[in-house]
Amino acid sequence: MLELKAISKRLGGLPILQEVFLSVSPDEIVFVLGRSGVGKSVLLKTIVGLIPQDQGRVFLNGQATDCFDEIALTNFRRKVSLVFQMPALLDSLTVEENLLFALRKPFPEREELQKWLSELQLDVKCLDRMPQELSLGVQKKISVLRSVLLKPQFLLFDEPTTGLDPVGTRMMNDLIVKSVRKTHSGCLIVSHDVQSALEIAHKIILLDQGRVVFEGKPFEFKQCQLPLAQAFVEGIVAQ
Amino acid sequence: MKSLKMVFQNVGQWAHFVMLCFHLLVSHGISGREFKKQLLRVGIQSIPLTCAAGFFVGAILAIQIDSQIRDFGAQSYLGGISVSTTLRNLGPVLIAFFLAGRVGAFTSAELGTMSITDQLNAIRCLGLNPIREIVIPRLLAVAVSSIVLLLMGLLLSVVGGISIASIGLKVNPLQFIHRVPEFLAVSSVFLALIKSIVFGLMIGSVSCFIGFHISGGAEEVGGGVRRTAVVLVVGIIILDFMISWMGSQFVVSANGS
Ligand SMILES: Nc1ncnc2c1ncn2[C@@H]1O[C@H](COP(=O)(O)OP(=O)(O)OP(=O)(O)O)[C@@H](O)[C@H]1O
Ligand SMILES: [Mg+2]
Repeated sequence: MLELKAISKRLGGLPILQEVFLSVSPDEIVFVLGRSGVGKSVLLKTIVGLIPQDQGRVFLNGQATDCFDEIALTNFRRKVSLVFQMPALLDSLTVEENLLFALRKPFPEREELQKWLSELQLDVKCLDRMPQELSLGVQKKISVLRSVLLKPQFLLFDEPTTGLDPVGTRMMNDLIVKSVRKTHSGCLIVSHDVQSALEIAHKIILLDQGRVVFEGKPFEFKQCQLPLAQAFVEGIVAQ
Repeated sequence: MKSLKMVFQNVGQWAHFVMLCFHLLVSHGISGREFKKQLLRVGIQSIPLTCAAGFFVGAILAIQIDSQIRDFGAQSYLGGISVSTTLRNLGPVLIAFFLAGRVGAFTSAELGTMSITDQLNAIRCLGLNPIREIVIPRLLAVAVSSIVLLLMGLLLSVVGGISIASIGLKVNPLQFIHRVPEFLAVSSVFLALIKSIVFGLMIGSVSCFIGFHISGGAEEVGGGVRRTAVVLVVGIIILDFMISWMGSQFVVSANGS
């Protein structure tokens, strides 16, 4: 279980996160929704220790992460893997090298790799290309795949569907659901893609001005009376 | 006063960074594939230009020295004086400047861009250490290739001196070479070697240190590259002075005893 207890963070003198509590269990997909700039990316970076929190603690299976040394932190990040908002592929490596970079085995089951690729409707030929030669959407899929292949206990996604077309969005959601089912990992997704949240989330959390203002199941979110929640739901009705 | 404190702070951080790299290198080894790749990228590809730069450095010095000694009828000493001057002083410095601009700036821009586009963070989030995976192979590749390139450049500077002397200044190449051993002590060659190693290590470590710590946006990458160039040029001059001075002290004391 991945738990956040009263995480607070100020940046540039402004409070970004204020006493955020949340938890993700194995096999669970949790969506954190919030407007742009509310601090979703900061939240994820705090969890994996890229940004130190001012207050509060993060627990993985009951163990607090703030007392981790460099090695423990590295091991923790193998168990709790963050996929960035921008694809962040290493641009001096080919796609295949990028995918295998963290695996530490020269050619792990290439068949498995091909299976994943075909699930994402990616051509096997793209393995030999450089990331810069691919569209942003394809890069994004590769970067998600890079983390999924590590089979971490918890996967954190920063806006996995932003910038993808509707077909790509569906594929990405399928990939997330499948990898959760296959590896029994837990999944924390920050996004403003309400549609995807309503489709695949087990739990939705709404952030507003650094605080959790709603937590519940997708159907409860639809019925939520908060103006922000309604605005989010109406947004997709309008579409 | 404040800026002096900053300088010392930065030097301290740089030393700490180098120690960290060394510690990781000893304890975890190096990713050989990445090292080879970088060696190819920064080293092999810089050979032609470095050789050209070395050639012209040698040629320029030969012309300069010739114009000064010709009037004294001392042209037969041209080879000795120009080769020893090139190897002892200006050769390593000028070629190191060239490498600072080409290899150093490139490395720090690349690392800086990797940092601001979250590539280094992505490596951390895959449970890997970016210093081990990215920095150490680059640092070593840059240092090793700088050292080799410097030596190559120096060799070509001798060739440049000989060529310009025989073609432009009408000095017999054999005569040019003949007088070299009289002027070129073993200590000069040794000094050139020491300088090459020190400058090479400095270009590698400074460019990686600055590049790795860049954060922000494109502007910061630009600033980092500029800082790398400035620090390297100033550092090379200061180190050149220190090594030359220590070298001359050493020669004096060796002659005295
Ligand atoms: N290094 C920093 N220094 C100061 N302020 C920062 C820093 N990083 C982020 N912020 C601020 O924190 C707030 C939250 O940023 P964050 O990137 O987490 O937003 P977000 O919710 O992920 O938005 P988006 O949906 O657009 O990605 C923003 O207002 C931003 O200006
Ligand atoms: Mg964000």
